[in-house]
Amino acid sequence: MVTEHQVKNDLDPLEPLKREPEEIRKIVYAVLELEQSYLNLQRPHINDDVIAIVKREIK
Amino acid sequence: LHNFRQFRGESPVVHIASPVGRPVTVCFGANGAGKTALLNAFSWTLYGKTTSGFLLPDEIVNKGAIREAKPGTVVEGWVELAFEYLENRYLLRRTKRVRRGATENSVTELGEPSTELRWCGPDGEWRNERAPDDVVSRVLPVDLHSYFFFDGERIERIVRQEAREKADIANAAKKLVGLEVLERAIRHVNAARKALEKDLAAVGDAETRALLEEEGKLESRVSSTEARIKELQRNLDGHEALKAEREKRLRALQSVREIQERRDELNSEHEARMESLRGAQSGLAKLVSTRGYSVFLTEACNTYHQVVEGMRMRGELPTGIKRQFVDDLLAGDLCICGRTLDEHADAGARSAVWAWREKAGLADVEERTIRMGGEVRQLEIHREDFWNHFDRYLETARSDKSELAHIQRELEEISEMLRNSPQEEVSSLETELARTNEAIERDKLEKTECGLLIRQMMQRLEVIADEVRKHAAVERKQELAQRRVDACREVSSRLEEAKDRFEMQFRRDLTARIAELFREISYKPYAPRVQSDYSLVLVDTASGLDGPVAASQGESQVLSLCFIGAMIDIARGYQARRERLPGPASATYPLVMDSPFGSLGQTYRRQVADHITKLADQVLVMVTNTQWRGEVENSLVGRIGKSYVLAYYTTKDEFPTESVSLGGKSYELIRRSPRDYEYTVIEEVTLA
Repeated sequence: MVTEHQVKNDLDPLEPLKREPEEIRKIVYAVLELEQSYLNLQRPHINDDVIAIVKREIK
Repeated sequence: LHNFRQFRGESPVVHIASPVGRPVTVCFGANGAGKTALLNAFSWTLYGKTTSGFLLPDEIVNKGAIREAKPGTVVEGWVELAFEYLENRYLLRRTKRVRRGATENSVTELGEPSTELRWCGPDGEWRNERAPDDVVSRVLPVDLHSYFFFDGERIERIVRQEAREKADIANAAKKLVGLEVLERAIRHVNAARKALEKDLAAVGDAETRALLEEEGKLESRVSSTEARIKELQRNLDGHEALKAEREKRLRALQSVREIQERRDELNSEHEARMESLRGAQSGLAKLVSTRGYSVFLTEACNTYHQVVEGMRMRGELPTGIKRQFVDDLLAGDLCICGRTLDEHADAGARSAVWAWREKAGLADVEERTIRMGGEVRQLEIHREDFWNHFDRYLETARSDKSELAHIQRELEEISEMLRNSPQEEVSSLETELARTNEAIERDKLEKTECGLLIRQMMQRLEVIADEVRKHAAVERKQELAQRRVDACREVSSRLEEAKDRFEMQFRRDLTARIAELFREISYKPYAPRVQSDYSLVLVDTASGLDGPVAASQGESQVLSLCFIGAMIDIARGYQARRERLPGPASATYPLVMDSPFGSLGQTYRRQVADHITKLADQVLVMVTNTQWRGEVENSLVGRIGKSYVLAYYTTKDEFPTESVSLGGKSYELIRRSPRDYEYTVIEEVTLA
């Protein structure tokens, strides 16, 4: 018998990031790439960069 | 190592065995020989940090080297670490400098340790890195290092953690699988959303609605007023026709024809005078608006004349001699009379010429005076012209007005006379004509008022249209801001969802992997569980109660090793299939362990040794002779790729012998120092 817990466990973690619409997906990946490049800093000041990404994708 | 702690002078390079083949590196050393120092050489070089078992962490530079140095000289202690990451090779060196004082105990530290990082890409060229700490953080984040370089005697702390250490483990785990990236992204997207929400607070709909309502009302009033103007015009046309008809009838009456003709004459004269008066009035308005200014410049023109007159009286105008001319004489040191004007020899003559310079007018003052004179004269002509025209227009208007008054009076007399005519027809016609004239006047007045009203309403409509346009622009902006805020919410909720799924998967995989490793190593019927804060508990699976059990120190150590092994294993697995999700790049993980078998019993020692290469790709273990001998030796000897001896040189004459046998050779771990201080030398063991 498959439990609800198991079903939940088998969900692809990347799936929510890949969903449509395109502009949301683009924001997700651009923000993640930005975060990745600042991972070495304890407290990166990138709020403005994130806002710029949102503004660029939603016009 | 170079003069680092007990390692005097420059040690041979310690190579860590390759992950392929025999991946284990062993360093043998007696207690106090420098095993912990060697472990700390890694964390000190990478992060400037040391473990709690590393006493006197500021005393980095070897004491013997300081002792042998001349007073006043600088002694360096450094560690150089070579590693590979992705496609690049790196050479990281951290150096501490001290200056020896008069005695070996008076040592001055020369600033903080310095770091130098050079790297070489696939092109084979070495470069200097400007931000070594950033690169190191990318290769292995600082809060992860204690899981890769650890002190075996304290390792059970991973299981028996304090609250702060639990948070450290959770953070480390998140970094390894890329969860940290997701968490930060959620935090920053939410902050962005809050900033974007500020754009939403602006003009409300109600205001725009009120404006549009007013606009609608005004527009309908404008059109009804326009209709009224048309109606008035029709009335006027009717009245005019009636008037003409009545006048015609009056003219047809023999008795009053002459009077009516005189009235016609007066009317046309009235019209002509009105025309003339209108002409005078508009001419006057034009004159004031185009030439009126010249009246206000009278005083300025007078001032100009006074200034020029004054200059003439003083002889400044016309200039006669130009200042430039005097300047040229002075520059050439020669007067026009041929006399030299040398600064020293002819000081008197020179100062005389210099005095002329002060008298001489400036060329451009003269030029400007002439030009301004023309303009002032022009202004004066304009002014005169203005007053001439002004008077003429006034005179015309005055005579027109007085003539119009005469005509008006005569017309009224005629009307009066006709109204009082004994002939009833004449009297009634004239009365009707007067009434028609009144109606014409009334309608004309109303028409003018209507026109004025429309102009006012049109002006207000323009203002409203402008406001509405502005509001529309704001609304478009608001709508855009709303969409951006919504996008942020959507992005954040997706990241949360992905994070939850990742975390669940990670915890499940971690538990399974730890359990697997623990089952292989431990003989107890216990199973480890990973809590939500990533702390570990052991549960008794045999009792069927799944209740937590108190782990012994040995079990805690084994469990901690399993935890580290599982973390490394899972991080590797996640990165292999992480697709485009950012996270630390996949790499070969080394484990550097000081005394990993410290307080383990016989069975666990063998079990841990058997499984140690399952934990990581490369393993460096530091052991004492007793930790090595027996089960550990039997288990690991076939997997050793490199081994070293930390030979400790003591100043005591009597010391216990301690040796290790490797590859058929025996190595003494404690030796007599040939100097008057103790130190350690690293020797590579050549394996058969």
